[in-house]
Amino acid sequence: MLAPLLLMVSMSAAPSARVLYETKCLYCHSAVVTEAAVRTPAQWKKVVASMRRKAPLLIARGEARQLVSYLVTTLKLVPPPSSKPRAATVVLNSPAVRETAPPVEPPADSEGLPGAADDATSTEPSDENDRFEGHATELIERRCSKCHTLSRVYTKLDTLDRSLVTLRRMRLKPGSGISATDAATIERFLRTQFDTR
Amino acid sequence: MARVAATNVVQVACLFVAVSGAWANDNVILSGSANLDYRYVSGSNPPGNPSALGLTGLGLEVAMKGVIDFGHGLSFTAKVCGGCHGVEIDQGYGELMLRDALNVRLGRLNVPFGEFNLRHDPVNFTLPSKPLPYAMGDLLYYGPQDFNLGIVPAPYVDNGAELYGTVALSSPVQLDYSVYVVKGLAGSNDLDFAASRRYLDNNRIPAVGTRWVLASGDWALGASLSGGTYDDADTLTYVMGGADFYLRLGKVTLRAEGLFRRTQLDATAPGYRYQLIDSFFLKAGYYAQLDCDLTQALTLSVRADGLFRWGAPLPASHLEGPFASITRYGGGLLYRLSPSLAVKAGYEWWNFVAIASLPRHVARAALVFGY
Repeated sequence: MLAPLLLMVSMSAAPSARVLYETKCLYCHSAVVTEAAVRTPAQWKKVVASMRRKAPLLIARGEARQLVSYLVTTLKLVPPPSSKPRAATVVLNSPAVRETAPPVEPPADSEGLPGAADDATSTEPSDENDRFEGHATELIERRCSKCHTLSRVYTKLDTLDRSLVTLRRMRLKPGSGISATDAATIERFLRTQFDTR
Repeated sequence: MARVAATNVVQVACLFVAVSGAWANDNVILSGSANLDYRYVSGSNPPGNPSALGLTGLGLEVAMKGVIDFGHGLSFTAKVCGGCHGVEIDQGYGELMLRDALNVRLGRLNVPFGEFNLRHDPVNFTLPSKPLPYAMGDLLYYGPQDFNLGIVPAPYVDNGAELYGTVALSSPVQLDYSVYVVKGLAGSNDLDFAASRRYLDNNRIPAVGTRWVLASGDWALGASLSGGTYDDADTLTYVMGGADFYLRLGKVTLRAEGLFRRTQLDATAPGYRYQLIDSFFLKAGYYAQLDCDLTQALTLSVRADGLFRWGAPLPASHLEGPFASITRYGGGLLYRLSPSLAVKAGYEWWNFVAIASLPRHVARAALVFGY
C-alpha cells in the first residue's frame, strides 16, 4: 500500500532534477550507458563538464551542477564508502560498458570551465541565476525550433563568437520572432555560459 | 543516372573535406545536411520518380553551407547542394548588416517568397515531403505540360540584390521586410524551374518582389508578392503572391500558407485543345500543418495541402479540362535519434481532378542528418 505512495513522494521530491537528467543526459545516451559506471563526485563533475563542452547550451552551467548532484545524491552512482581511493576510481559494472561509457577527460577547468575540478557542491548558484538560465534556455528552444526541427542548434553554438554571429544572422531572418529584447537576453546568457573567468 | 549521383556525392564530399580545416576559426560557421528518403506509391503504373540514383522511390539530397564573418556586419555565405539535378550553388552572396532596419545582400540568393522557402532544407521541416505549393519533382504527375510542379520552386534560387531588415513596433511585435530585384523565373509557355536556376538571364527585364512579416515570439503573419516577365522576348508575365500564418501554443505549432501564381500563356503557340478566351492560367495552392511535440524527441504532424489550376491546358497536356486539382491529406512522425540525426515516416492520400488517375496512397520514410 505504501510503496506506490512512497514512489510518488520520491518522484515528486525532485522532479526537476529527474526530468533534467532525462532530457539532457538521456537525450544522447541510454540509461544503460549513463548509469553503468560509478565515479567520485569530482569525476562526475568532469564527465558532465566534458559533455557540456560538446554542447554548451544543451547543458547550461547551472544545469551541470544539478546533474552532478542528481547522479551523486539520487542515483548514488558513487563508489561504496568502504572502497579505498585508487588511481582510477571509475568502477564499471560490466565489461561491455567499458567501450561505451563516456571517457573521463582532463579536468575541465584546464580548458576554461571554472571550478570544474572542485567538489560538486562547492559553488552554489543563486536562485536568480537559475531562473535566468531557465528562461534563456527556454527562449532559445522556442525561437530556434520555429525553423530548426533538430536540436543541432545546441551543437552549433559552440563558441561565443560563432554564437553571437549566428544569433544576429538568425534574428534578421524574416519572421524569426526574435525581438531585440530576446536577442539581448540570449546574448547575456551566451556570455555567461562562455565566460571563462 | 546512378553514376551521376555518385559523382555528385563525391564532389560534395570533397568540398566538405576541403573546407573542414576552416572550422578552427571562430569567424567561420559551417553547417550542412543529408537526407535519404524513400517513397512507395500504391496502385499499378505509379508515376515515374526522378530519383538521380535511378532507384525507383529513393532520393538523396546533400548540402553544405559555410559563412565567413569578416566583422563589422560583413559576411560571405556559400552553400552547395546535390540532389536530383546534380551539384548546384544554392547560396553564394555577400551580406552587409548595417542596422536592424537596413541590411543588404547581393549575389545568388534564396529569394524570400513564402514562409516555407526559409525552411526548404529537409532538416528544417518535420514531414518527409514538401507542401504541394512548393512541390518539385516529388509531385505526382508533375509533367511540364501538365501541373508543371508547384507554385514556386523550393529552393527558390536566383541572382540579385535584396534589402531587408526589421523594425520594432511595440515590444515584442516587430515588422520584418524584404525588397528584392532578381533575374526572375524563366520559361517559354509556362515556367521552367530548371531553366530558372541558370546563371544567365534569359531576358532584359528583371523581376521584383517583396515580403513582409508581422511577428512576435509565438506567432507570425506574412505576405509575399513578386512578378516579372519570363520568356526570352519579355512579352509573357507572371505575378505571384501569398500569405502565411504561424502560431505556437505550448507543444502545438500551426502553420498555414496560401499561394497563387497568374501566368500569361503564349497565345500564338499551336495545339491548344480549347479556344483561348483568357490568355493566362491561374494556379493556387495551400497547406495547413499541425505539429505536436509528444516528447522532446518525438513530433507528430498532420497536414492537408492542395494545388489547383484554372485555365486552358497547355498544348500536349494530359490534363482533361480547364480545371484540375491535386489534394493531399496525410501525417507522419519525426523521431530525433540524436541532436543531429532523425528519422521521418509518413503516409499521404492523394486525390486528383482532371488527371487520369485513381487516388494514390503514398508511404514515405526518410533519414535526415544535420550538423
